[in-house]
Amino acid sequence: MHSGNFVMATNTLRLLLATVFATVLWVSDLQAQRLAVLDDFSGRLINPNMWSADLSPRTKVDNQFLDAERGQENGSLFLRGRQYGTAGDDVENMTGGYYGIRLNDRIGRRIDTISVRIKIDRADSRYCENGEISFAGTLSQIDGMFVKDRNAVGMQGAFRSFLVMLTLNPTPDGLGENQYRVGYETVMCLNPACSKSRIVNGKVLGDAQYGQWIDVEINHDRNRRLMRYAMRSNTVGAAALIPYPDSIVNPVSVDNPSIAIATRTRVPQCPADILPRPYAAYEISIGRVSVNPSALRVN
Amino acid sequence: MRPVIQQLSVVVLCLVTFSAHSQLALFDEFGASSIDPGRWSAINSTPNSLNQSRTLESGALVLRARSWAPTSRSHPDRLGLAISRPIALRVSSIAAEVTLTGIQQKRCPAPTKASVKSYFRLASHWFRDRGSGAIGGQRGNVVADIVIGRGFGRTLTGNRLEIFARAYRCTDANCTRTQRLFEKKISNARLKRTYKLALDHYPDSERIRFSAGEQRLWFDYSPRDFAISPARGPAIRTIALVNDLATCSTSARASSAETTAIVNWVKVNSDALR
Repeated sequence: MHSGNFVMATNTLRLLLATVFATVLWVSDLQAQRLAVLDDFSGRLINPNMWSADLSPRTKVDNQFLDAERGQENGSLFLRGRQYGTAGDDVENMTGGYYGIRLNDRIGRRIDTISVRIKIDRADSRYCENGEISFAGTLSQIDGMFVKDRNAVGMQGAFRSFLVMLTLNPTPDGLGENQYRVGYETVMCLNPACSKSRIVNGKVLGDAQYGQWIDVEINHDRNRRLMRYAMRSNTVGAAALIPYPDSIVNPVSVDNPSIAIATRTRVPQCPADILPRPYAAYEISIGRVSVNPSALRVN
Repeated sequence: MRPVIQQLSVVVLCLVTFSAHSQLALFDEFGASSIDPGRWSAINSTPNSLNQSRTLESGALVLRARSWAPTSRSHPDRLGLAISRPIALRVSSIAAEVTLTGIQQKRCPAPTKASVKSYFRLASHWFRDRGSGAIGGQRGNVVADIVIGRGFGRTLTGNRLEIFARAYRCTDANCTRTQRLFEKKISNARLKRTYKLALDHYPDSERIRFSAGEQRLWFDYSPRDFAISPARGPAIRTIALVNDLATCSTSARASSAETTAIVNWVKVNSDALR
């Protein structure tokens, strides 16, 4: 009986949650209606006037990014890659370079809202099985630097907003089979060149299934001094509103927002005698990118 | 009589040396589902390429890249693989069977006359020129490559390609600036035909041999000709697709090249695999 009551209570809770999610979805839909499609990736070629290759920072593991594909098919952009860990004398976590596309500057600086339809088709990885604490995985991310204070020197004090889809092996607690985690992170530049930064906030928004389309969105409302991160699928909707800190008195767009859709991998460096080599592999699809309509107006 | 015997013995010795040198063993026939990290490292220098792939499909390596004219001065796009160490250190011969299955070139609109080069490249940094007086990175490296594609000699269209043999000396740390030592056309070629390309280095006789099928060319880099003083240098042995586009003066991204190459196998001198 106790078990039956528990099931009933759980079902009631699910109904309530479904209602809440439906409301959230409705609000999100209203938000989505105000956006204009920037690129639906319908052609065979990635548009070179809109996008550039996301250049990977030169790390010592870049040359271990072997199988790689970036292209468009069936109305979506795809990114596929396989990054191996290096064999070394000590064990540490290594992060591979970026692989993706970056929005050309002249469009990017007018964007305050970007919504991306994304699907993680597949992800798998292998970590060092040598008893050390280790993991391997992929971060698929949408990021951009949207706002800074008018009087800031260079990028000092500017915010970089990240929406991150994280797949990990071993699977984190609470994550079901074939699920991955969606979260956000805000990073503040600590010097004019933004070569140093620190994480200001970050949180999990929800979980999603491989093969399921989700919409993720970053929105900056400079008038209300708020940034909003959101995710939405046909089963989950969640959003977080983050107020600007006091250090931003007069929020303005940065000159080069450097908005990108890209993947990174975290693959451990294992002792040289550990075989087979650790790796992280992924396949993701991007169905559509939408932005605030004012960003598309030609001056 | 004695000189003749001496000459004959030298010829026989050379033949023995060359035949022993050219014994090749399979390095990779790309039959796995993914590229082997024990054999290869990646060449990911593609700042102007958006659509691209480096994958294994149906037992072959497929390299494909669509590159756009750079908006500012830029290096050529290079997408490929390099033989991993320590095997690369022992390689004195490298061969690959390759088919160029597609080249699409769109040139800059008039009045710009910017070149577009699209080709597959089998290359090796064989040694460092000690006499170049500079150190650091790849500066002083002597590189030989054999290339199949378009954009070297005549303006080609349709299925026509050319195969060239080249050798040059790197004059900066990243080998973006070079001094040409040797460049000759080996033969004409065709799109969708399969070619065996090979490079062999004979350090004792100070020669590099370029082969495309049965066609051969030799580059003699002896000090008396090129003032080269060979020293052991970094062992960089690569297969790569290259799209080399100049900036168009009219507008950004106005020219492009899409190239696809299929590599069936790569072989190296058998003793490198021991």
